[in-house]
Amino acid sequence: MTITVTGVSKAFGGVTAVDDVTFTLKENRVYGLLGRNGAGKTTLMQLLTGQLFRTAGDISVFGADPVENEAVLTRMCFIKESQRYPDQFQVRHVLASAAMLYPNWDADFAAALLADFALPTNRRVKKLSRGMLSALGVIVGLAARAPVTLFDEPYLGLDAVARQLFYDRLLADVAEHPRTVVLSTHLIDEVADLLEHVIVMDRGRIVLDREADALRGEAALLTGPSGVVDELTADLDVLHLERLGAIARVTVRGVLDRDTRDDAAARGVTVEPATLQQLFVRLTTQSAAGPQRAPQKEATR
Amino acid sequence: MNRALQVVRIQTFTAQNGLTWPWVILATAFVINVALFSVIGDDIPGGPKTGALASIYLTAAAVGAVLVHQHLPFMLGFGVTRRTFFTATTVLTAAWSLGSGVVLYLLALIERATDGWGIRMSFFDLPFLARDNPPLQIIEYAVTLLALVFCGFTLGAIILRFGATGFWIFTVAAIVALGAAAILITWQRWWGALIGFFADQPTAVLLTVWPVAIAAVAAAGSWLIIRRVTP
Repeated sequence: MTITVTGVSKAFGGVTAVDDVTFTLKENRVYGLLGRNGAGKTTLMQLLTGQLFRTAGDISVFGADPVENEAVLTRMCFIKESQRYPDQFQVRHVLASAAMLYPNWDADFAAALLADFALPTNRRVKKLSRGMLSALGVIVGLAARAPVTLFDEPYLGLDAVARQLFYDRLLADVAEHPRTVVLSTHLIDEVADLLEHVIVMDRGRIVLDREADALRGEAALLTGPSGVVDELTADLDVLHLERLGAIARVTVRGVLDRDTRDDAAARGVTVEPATLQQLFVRLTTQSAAGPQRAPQKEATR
Repeated sequence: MNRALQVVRIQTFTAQNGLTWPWVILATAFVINVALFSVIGDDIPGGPKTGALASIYLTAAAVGAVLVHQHLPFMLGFGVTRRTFFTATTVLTAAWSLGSGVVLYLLALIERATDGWGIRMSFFDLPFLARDNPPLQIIEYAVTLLALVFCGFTLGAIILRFGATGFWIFTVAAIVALGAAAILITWQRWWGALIGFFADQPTAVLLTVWPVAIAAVAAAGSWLIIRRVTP
């Protein structure tokens, strides 16, 4: 295991941002860390990189505690939205700093990425647009080639083309230089194909920790006449229910057995696997809406 | 390259990172003083004596504050430990203080050779310094600079960790503590003894041992704050 997290909590005053979290990250895999705003994703990544001090629990990265640990921290790169830079620094100063501080830094790759994102090197970081600032983070995170690389919503202000560029470069470079990547994002559909493993956080806790392949059968979507759908899903773990006139659309957890699927098809109900984004939305709105067995009934025109 | 030295190198990337400003301000003060005393003319007995050298000492405090406030959050985000940052910044500011001490001494020599820049002005080569002992004079310049750099370092660390409110609370607390001490000393009639205590010490001790003690206390205090700082 590259990273082992055991019973970790972080409290700020009375607020528990990360609440008794336990998980492991394996070597050379791409992880998605998903969660709503305030779910504790950024706090968790700051704990992993020793930037925050945990309130409880144990974190082991490459077999050691990352806090104030030079040997561990030189092998990690954490790109966060709130990164601060000295006022006088230009883009080239940031790149020169990264070249010194990350042992695996690839200057040629950085130069290629600079051209890809059309980032001017002699511009002050303070004067960069939101998108350019994100591009700078993406370039540092990719060219650092750190064995553990964490991206915390690295795409703010980047347009769809630039985001696709980031995903493409990440995928290609990870294939060539394998490393553990943690990608925290809201744009789930965009990265779904990139992720090998998904961890979903909600209110400081981990509510899902699963291989991406296994997730494809994690939830199903049944759409059809209300009465039939209700009957079919009566004994299932209903995550979400929507009604549109006489039509119901229900998200259920788990895989439907063959008989149920055949039965559904015969009675005019379509069954399809839920996308990662649909599953995520159902899992994380649930806790806000109430207990699992009482799904909210929302009337949709 | 050693990681602390890499951090030093990064801190010196931009000339405006604070290290040059004390010299810019000192140079400005020097030019103004030369102009001023040239206008006044040569009618001051013993030649004009100016305290404008203090300008470099006050801005040295800003150097420490700026370094920690600007660079520490940046470095933490790039995987530098608080310990390495503290070591690097100590090395950098100590080297800067010593280098500045040497330059101030060389300027003092020029001042001596030119009879006070042609206007008998005492600007660098102040009479209370150890003028007959070059290494000691350099150390007197340097350790006082270092003490102020570390005081600024502590203030920068306070602002970074506790915010502006923390800084003001610290300031109020410091004023209360000093005020209470003054009240106690007055009440106990200790002023004479206190002044005597310092007056009895050789000037060289006042200008070396005490700045080193202040620097050590400020360094320890700033480390205690920095070791738990978060970006």
